[in-house]
Amino acid sequence: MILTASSALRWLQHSVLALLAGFVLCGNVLAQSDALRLVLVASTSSPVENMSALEVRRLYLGVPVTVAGQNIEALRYTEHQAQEVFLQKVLFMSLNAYERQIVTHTFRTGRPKPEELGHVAGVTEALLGNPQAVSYLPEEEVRKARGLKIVGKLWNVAP
Amino acid sequence: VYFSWHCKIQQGKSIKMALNKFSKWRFALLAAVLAAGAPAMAQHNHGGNSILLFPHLIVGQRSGDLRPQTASSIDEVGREAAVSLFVSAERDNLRFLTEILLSNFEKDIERFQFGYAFDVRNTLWLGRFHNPAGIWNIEHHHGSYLQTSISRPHIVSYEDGGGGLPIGEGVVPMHLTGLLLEGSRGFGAGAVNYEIGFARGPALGDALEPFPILQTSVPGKETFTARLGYKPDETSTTQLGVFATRSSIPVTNPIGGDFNQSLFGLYGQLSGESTRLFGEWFDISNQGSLGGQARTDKLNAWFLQGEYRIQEPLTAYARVERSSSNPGDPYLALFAQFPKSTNVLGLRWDFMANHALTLEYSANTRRDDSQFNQLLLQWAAVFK
Repeated sequence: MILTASSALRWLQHSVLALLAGFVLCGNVLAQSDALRLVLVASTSSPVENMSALEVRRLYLGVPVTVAGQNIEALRYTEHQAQEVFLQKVLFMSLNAYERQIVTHTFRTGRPKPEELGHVAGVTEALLGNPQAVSYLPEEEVRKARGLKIVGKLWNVAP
Repeated sequence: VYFSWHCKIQQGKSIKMALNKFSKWRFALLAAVLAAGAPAMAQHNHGGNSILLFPHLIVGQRSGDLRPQTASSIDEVGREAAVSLFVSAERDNLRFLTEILLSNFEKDIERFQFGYAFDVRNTLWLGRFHNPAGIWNIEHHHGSYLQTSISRPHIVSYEDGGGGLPIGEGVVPMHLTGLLLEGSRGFGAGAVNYEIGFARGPALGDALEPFPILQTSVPGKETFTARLGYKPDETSTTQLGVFATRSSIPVTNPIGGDFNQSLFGLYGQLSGESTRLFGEWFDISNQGSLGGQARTDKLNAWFLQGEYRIQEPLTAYARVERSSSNPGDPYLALFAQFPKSTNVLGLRWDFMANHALTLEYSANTRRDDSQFNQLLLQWAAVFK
């Protein structure tokens, strides 16, 4: 009985510690999410000066968007946290629902899906190479990059 | 040269004939050329390409009044394995897309279109395309993953019944070959969209046989089709519209004849955050001679499908299909599996990235009041 009670106590202690560790980790992730400032960016040579959240939503869902007579193209930055925030806070969709909708659009019309890029360097390079393209990035990453300008604020919550 | 193969692998003597027309090596070569060539074509700042692969596997079981199965329906063992390859490319104003279906029942080029885009919203297509009759046939095409249910409603069945449709054969043209003008015009947040097509339609052999591209020996005749729709919000899939198709259909089976099919319909879809309700209504008139008998027969059919996302990965759905027709209609008599009533219930589980497992049960009543039930399990995915 004594051994059993002791084991039970240890199990309880470990459980409490595990829960506390979980809360700390989750809290850290949530704090990072809150700290994320997501902005819409384009090359400094882009005709896009400002784009509303509604226009961004239209663009990423395959609706044609033109600025100064030029068709604007969307790039997807697929880093997990940035993409989740963009989908949930700007498009109001889950990743599965978004993927299904844009694949349906491509399958129906033949128009290409937004290009997917997993690294900031790749997004920056693609934007610099195509003035008609826009993408979303964390604001702190845009500050480090050259040749990019912010054309919209998408998600902006202070920690 | 490669596009003269239109092949439906059917049972019995048709297999030999079909294999003569079709070489799987040529077909594989065509698929490889398309897969390799599209990215090269799209190496341009203002161009893009897409390659999508839609595989699916279905296992099924039927009970009740089991009639002889067609080659394209689930066989007695109840298995269907298929993959749809989609390739598209665009360069400046030029566009191209194709969809190739390979399954254990058929191998076919389902869509093959060259397009010229007048602007970002309006395109003129030449080639083989899906008839824009309603919403189902041009939203999902042969990509089983994209439709929530496993089966298609019977009224929009493919001519050969393939592509995720385990029952019966289509009674209206779903594939056309010719010209298609399609586009849209934005009005505020919404848009009006249109499709107008003038093409070669199907002939009536053992079933409706679509006009195959670049194979002029099949006697398809002129078909006119049009659709007009409205979306109050272009970012939503909520929409409504009307459509019409008129086909002159020659009869090539021993019954003989020639008739015109006129089709008029309405469609609508209401999409919410976790719900979707959509349906189509068809009014079809077959006028002409079939088996030397001049007559006019009417067919009315509709379906309504509701979907509810219980939680993020789980979606429940139900569909009701009804049709009414003249019991002595010689045209519908050729389609023994076409039901007058079908009720469908299903549950779809989306898992990993772009995979779905779906379980579906349906209760069907044929036009002669015979009944059968069907249970299907499908894995479907999209690779991109």
